[in-house]
Order: sequence, then structure tokens, then C-alpha cells
Amino acid sequence: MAEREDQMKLGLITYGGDIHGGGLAQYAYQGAQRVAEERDLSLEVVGTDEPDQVREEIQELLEKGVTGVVTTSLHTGQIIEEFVESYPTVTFVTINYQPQVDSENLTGLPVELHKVEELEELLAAHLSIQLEAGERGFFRNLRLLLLEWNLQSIFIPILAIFTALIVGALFIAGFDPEVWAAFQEGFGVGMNGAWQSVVKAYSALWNGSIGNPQKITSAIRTWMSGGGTEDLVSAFSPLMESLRVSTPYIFTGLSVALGFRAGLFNIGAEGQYFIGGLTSVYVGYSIQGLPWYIHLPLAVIAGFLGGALWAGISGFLKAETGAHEVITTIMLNYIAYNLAEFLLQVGGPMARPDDPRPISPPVFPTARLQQFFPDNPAIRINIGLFLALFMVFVIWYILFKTPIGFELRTVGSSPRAAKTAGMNIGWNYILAMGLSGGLAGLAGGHDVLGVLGYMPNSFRSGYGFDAIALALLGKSHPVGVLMASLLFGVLRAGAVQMQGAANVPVDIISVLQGLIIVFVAAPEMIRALYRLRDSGQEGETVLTTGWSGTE
Amino acid sequence: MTATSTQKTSKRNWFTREKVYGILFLGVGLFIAFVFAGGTESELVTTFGLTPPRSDSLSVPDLVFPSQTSLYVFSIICIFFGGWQLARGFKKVNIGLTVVALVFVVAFLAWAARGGSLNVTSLMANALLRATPIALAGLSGVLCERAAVINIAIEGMMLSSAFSSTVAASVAGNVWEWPRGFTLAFGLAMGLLTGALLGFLLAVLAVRYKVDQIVAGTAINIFSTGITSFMVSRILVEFQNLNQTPIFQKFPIPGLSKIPILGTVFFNQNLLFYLMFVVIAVIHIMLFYTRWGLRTRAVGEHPKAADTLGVRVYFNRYVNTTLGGMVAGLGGSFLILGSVGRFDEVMTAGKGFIGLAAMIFGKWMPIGTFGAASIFGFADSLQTKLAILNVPIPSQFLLMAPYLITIVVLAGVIGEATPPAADGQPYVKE
Repeated sequence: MAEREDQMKLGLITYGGDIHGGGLAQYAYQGAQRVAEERDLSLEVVGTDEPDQVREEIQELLEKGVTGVVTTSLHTGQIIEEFVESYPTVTFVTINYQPQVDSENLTGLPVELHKVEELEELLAAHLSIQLEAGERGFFRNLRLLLLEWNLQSIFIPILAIFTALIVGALFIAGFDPEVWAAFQEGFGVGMNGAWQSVVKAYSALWNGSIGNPQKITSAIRTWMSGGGTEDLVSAFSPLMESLRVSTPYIFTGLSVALGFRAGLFNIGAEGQYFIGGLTSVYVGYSIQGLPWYIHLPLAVIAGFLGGALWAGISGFLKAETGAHEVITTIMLNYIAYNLAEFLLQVGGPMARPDDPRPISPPVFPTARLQQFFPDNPAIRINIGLFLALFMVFVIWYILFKTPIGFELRTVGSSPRAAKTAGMNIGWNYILAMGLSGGLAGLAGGHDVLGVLGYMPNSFRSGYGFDAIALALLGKSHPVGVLMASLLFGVLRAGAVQMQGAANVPVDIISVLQGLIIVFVAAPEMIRALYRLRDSGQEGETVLTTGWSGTE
Repeated sequence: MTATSTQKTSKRNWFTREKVYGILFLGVGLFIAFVFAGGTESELVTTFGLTPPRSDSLSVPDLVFPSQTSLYVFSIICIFFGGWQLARGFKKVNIGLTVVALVFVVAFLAWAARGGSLNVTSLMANALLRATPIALAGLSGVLCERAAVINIAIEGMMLSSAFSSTVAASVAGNVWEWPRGFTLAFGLAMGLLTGALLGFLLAVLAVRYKVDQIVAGTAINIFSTGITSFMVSRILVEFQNLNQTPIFQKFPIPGLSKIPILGTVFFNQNLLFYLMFVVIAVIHIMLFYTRWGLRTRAVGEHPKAADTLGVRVYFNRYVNTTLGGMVAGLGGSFLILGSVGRFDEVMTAGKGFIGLAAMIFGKWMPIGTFGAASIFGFADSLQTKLAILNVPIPSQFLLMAPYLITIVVLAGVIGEATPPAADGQPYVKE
């Protein structure tokens, strides 16, 4: 980046308006400054009210090698058109002036005067996308992706998790009958008992999710000294199980995060997961004789489409009638449960023939997501993990690198600005819900094609609520969601062991999740608790609207 | 993009709301004629029982009529309404909609009970009983949202209150061996307290920390689900006597319960049922006839103006949301003390959310909310009755009915319903 430092500049030309005057110029300035800060550009502001000078000022600015020029008036907009052709690599934006020249690097942003404060948001979003449009290449994108996420504060989520674990410890100790018994013998004994109870639970959590440290070191030693890999595989199997549990979390977390970005609260990931599982399993067991490279993609795509259509209903209803997606998606969840119950009941349309259990027929091997250790069915990690990681990249790319994503985010952060800019808000709601539901459907597909190989009617898993926590924790950023999903995978996989070894019900994880959401959503609490100062860097990523979001 | 939007507007001009309803009415009429009447043998009769067995009220004779003929009559009514709607249009589309919906329900019942008998009075009484928790959930929403705090946490509040009611009443009844009245009162009080605490928590998050209200509500829901399920598997499974409460028995109101039909439906229920009507009346009067209500509505519509005039916006939101939590708590307690007497994991099963839909359907009015809740209660109660009647519909589809109705209601009504203007927005004092 350093060698291009001299080129990374952004120019703002205001005409007859102070950048602190509260008008168009101020918001344009704020928007441009935000982009400049985010992308490490230097911002050059040229304020002028002499019509004759404008042309020279622009010329001068362009010769300095700016990457983007923003102007705020009709007059400057007209002048800018003269330069567009000769500087094809520069992004030009005119505000409140509809360009007469049709050029790819020139856009006009209309802003209504009484909603001038929305300009900041609109301009910032627009510039970001335009400036990035020229940048290509997988590795550059990957690097940007990581950089972008690192910029966000991850301190608060870490403290939130820590605090939630401490509160969770209080619950574990407080509702342990053995601890009660210990306290009857005396306070010291009681405290000791409480400590033992928590240590037992959390070490079971650790061993069940990461692996027993002693077992791992001894396995590595055996392997180093030329022994077989069986010990190694078995020592790392808890970690692999955690990754396996993480995989559907990545899909569902991305699903809710994408919705958040578009201003939608998709609380129905659970139902979409169900429908995705149903459609995937149907393609998986009903078609026979296809080679795996056709059958498997078909089954996976079926899961995506199933979830997408199911959630698309909510998107459509919101776009057309304003029915709030929180209610409709929850209602669709219950409908999906009953639908699955009906289809899979013994003797039902999708039930396994001649079987007393309410489950679907088995998926053909050609549609299975290949497991890493086919010889050891206890280790269920499969190539679905790679699909999930790929989706992290795809969703990030769609959201931040394409015009579609730009529209979704604009609709999410400020529907009125999006409307002013001529975006079809309703369509964006349907699209966002569809994509979101599709991702949740993939999670269902993963579970039936990669883990179970069939679909049971008791498929409920609490993904819907978990996914909300994931999206919040990951600040609705795909990489953040990935991190949060890995964490939740560890917690969930460990919780199962914790229930077995320490008799702590798995539901403790929901308690932790509720706490984590509260703490992440109200960072002031965490700051007050740990006496941190407000850094002012918290990005507002979650935006939901009232009952009739279409305004 | 532009092409899509123009297409949409032109489509809108052809298919107006009125036209769609007209076609819908016609469709309902034809459906009744071909599916219901067509599938009924002409000699069958339908019996609508009006006096439930073991009832206090004076008895009235049952309603007996030929199934098929009556179905054709219902069909003609719907087709007439549809034709009228298409040709002339009703001044208020809702009148046509209400009549057709009502006719459809009656026709459905007449068809379901063809060649058999259905006790309509006990169906209605059961519907209202099932509507009670939904109505209370909706009322909780009304209280909060009139002060512009969206309460999506009603579900969680009900669940937590149901749990604490269960434990409190079980401890009082089975461990301390209090008399029944005290036990029930104690359980109820604990339920109300839990609801109020969670309401206060929501207010703190929404008002003090300005957390996105839907996110805060969801957190409360997740937390409630987690904590109650955790306690069930940790404690209630082991100590069964902590999950066993007495329930409010039927308390016929002397005199009134003797009225035929109405007596059974309204005046032969349990005390919590009557309490719900008190709550409706109190909230209605409070909102529309007291200074507090005026202030609440001002806070919900235009907090800045209210603040300028000296209304304490934050205080008002705290109080209303806490009271709303209490009402949701009453709904939760009803699920235990008013009906089953034992707690099961995630037993609210979406009632809090259906309550919110009832609130929207009822246009943020206490009485309207109750009306909407009774529709949901009816769907719920019908579903249990139909299982024993001659209906070739899989039970899963009947179970879907309340949820489907919620979606249809939300989609169909929201266009006309206006939430309080500042609903969901945190207020920042300047």
C-alpha cells in the first residue's frame, strides 16, 4: 500500500456552502471523511464560491492524482462532466445533479433537501463501493476482508463472553444439589464445593470441545516417535466434532447477519433450516443413478432453494404489505415444524417405508457430503465445512464488493436514503430474505447430507436463536460470524460432554447466549463493569425498524 | 430495477385491494359449494349443540338443520358478497370480509359436523379460555407500545412467569402446605413479580442503554428459554413435587351463569378469566380517560413534544414497560394456574408472538386486542374439536391454522393499522 500512498486521495468540492454549516456541504464532508478514514485516504476539501475558479480547482485536484471527486452543486456538476472522459480511473460523484453524460465512473446522487442528513450515509456507502470496484483479485480481497474485520472492535465481545461465562458459573454452582449439601456442612466447605462444581463443569466443557491436553500431547509424542495416527485422530476428535457443530452455525449466522445488513431481523432461521433439510433430503433419496458430481450439488442447491423460498414468503409479505418479518418468520417456523411432522410421520409422504420411526429414507451415497474419516463414523466432520468457509467469502463479497450488496446495505442502514436514490426497497427485502433463508437452508442440507444421512422429524436444534447471537457477536460481518460460530461450536459440542460428565443441562448455553447478546448489544454495561472508556468506535451494524418497515 | 418498479405499479392498478377481495369472496363461495356441499350426502343433518353437558345454564334446544341445503345457502351468500364487491364495492371492505369469514367458519363447522353433532357453546367457551393468555400477551404489548417500547419479549416473560408461578405455588402447596387460596395467590404474585422484573429489565435496556428493542427482547426470550429449560432439567425433573400446582377451579357467577349460551361462555369460567376482563377495562380506562393515559400516548406518538410539556418520558416508559411485563406475567401464570398446573419446557409455544399479532390486528386498542385474541383462541379450540369430528384434514394442518391466520392477519391488516408514531425508537433527551 505504501508505494501507492501518493495516489490515494479523495477530493470534495463544495460550492457556496460551509462544511460546518449544517447544509448539504456538511453532510457531504462527513460522508467523504468517513470513507477517507475507513480506507486510509487523505481528504482534500476545496471550498469555493467563485464560478470562474471552479474549473481550475478541479483541474488542479485531478492533477494531484485523486481517486475520487465529489461535488455538491448543480454548477460544479456540469463542469465535472467535462473531465469525466479524460480521467476514466477516477470516480466522480455529483450530488443533486443528474449527469447528462452517460459514463461508468460518474454517478449522480439525488438528495431531498429536508432529508439532507441522510447524505452522509448514502455518500459513504456509495464511495466505498465505487472505490473498490476497480480493485480485483482474490488475495487482495481476502486481505481486505481480514483487515476490515480487524478494524472493528473485538474487545467488547471478548469481555462479553468472559462475563457470560462467569455468570454461567454462578448458575452452575447455584443449582447444583451437591453444592447445597456442601453448604449445609459449613460456608468454607460450601465454597469449596461450588468451586469444584464449576471446575468440573468447565473442564468437561474444555475436554469435550477442544480435547484432553494430556491425551493430545501423548498422542503427538507417539506419532513423533513413529507410532500410528489412531491416537492422534482420537485425541483431536473433540476438536473436529466442534468444527462439525460449527458448520451449520456458520451458515445460519451468515443468514441472520445478511438480514441485519439489509435491515431485516430474520428470526426464522430454524424453520428455513427445516425446509432446507426437507428439500435436500428429498433430492438426496428420491433420485437414483446420478454421478455424485451432479447429485450432490443438486441436493445442496435444493436445500438452498427450499430455505430461500420459505424465507422469501416473509420478504414478499414485508415488501408488499409491511407485515413485520419477526412475526411472520416465527409463524412460518411453527408451520414448518408441523409440515415436517406431517411429511415424516410414519406412513407419511416422505417417511421411510416399513419403518416404525418417523424418519425419511436414507440419502444415496452420491448425495452425501463426504466425511473426512469414512472408516470412523463417530467423527462426523465433512466437506460441508469447506462449503461454509466458501460461503463466508461469497457473502462478504456480495455484501461489500457488488452493487447488489451496496443496495442491500443502503436499504438496511437508511431506507429513506435508498428510496431517494431510486432503489427498489421491496425487491431488496425479498432478495435479502431469500439469500438469508437460503443460507439457513444450507445448514439444514449440511445436517442431513453430511451428518445424519436422513431426516428425522425431531430436527429442532435452536439454530434460529443461536444464529441471532452469532450475528450480533460477529457484528454482522462474515468473518466475525465465522469466529463466533467457531466459539459456539466449541460451546455446544462441549456442553453435550458437560451434561454427560458433570450433569449440567445443555440449556445453560442458551443462558450464556442471552447474556452475550445483552452485553454485546449494550456495550455500555460492559464498559461500566470493567470501567472502560468509550472509544467511540462502535459501529452501528444492527438496525431494525418498527412494525411497518417499508415506510 | 426501474423496469421492475414500473411493472409493479401498473400491476397494482389492475389488482386493487377491493378486486382481490371480491375474487376471494367468490372463491370462498365456490369452495363451499363444491368442496363442502359437493362432498356431503343430501340426507345428512348437522346438529349444533347449544347447552353443554354438566352446565349451570338453563337448557336450550339443539339446532338441527340439513347439512347440504344449508351449505348451498352459505355458498350463495358468499358469491353474492363477492359479486357485489366486484360490481359495486362495499364502502368498507372490512364489512364484507367479516361477513364472508364468519359465513365460511359456520359453513366449515356445518360441514365438519355433518351427520353428527358439535357443541357450539362449549366450543366458544373453550375458545375464550384459550384466548385469555393470548389476549393478556397482546395487552402487555399495548401497554408497552403505547409508550413506544416494542415488547417482543412477551414470549420470554410469559415463560419465566409460568415457571416461577409453578415453583412458587408448588412450594407453597406441597412443601409449606398452605391452604389452596393462599397457594394460588402466592403463585400468581410470583408470576406477576417475575413479569414485572423482566419488563423492568427490558425498559432498562431500551431506555437507559438504548439497545435496539427487538434485539433486547430477543435476548430476554433466549435467556428465558435457557433458564427455564435449565431449571427444569436440573431441578424439576428430580423434585417432581415442585412441578405440581393446584389450579383455579371454575367459578360460576351466581345468576349470570344461568343465562343460556352466554352464561356458559362468559360467566362460568375461572377467576383468572374474569381478571382478564378487569385488566382490559382498567387498561382501556387508564389509556383513554386518565391523565396518565394521555401522557403515555403523547410519549408514544411524539416524545419530544411530551418532554417539552414536562412529561417525564423515561419515567413513563419505565412504568409502562414494567406494567406490561406484569400483564405478560399474568398471562404466563394463567398457563399454569388457570389451566394445566404443571410446567413443561417451552410451553408457551409462540403464544407471546401470537399475542403481538393480536395487538396489531386490534390496532393497539385493548378491546380490539381481545377481539383479535378470541379469533386465535377460536382457531386453537376448533383444532382440538375437529380431531374428533369427521374431517379428512391431517391434524398437523389443523395445528398450523393459528399460525397461518396470524400471517394472513398481519399481511392483510397492517396496511390499515398504524402503530404509535415513535414505536421502537429510543428517545434521546437533549
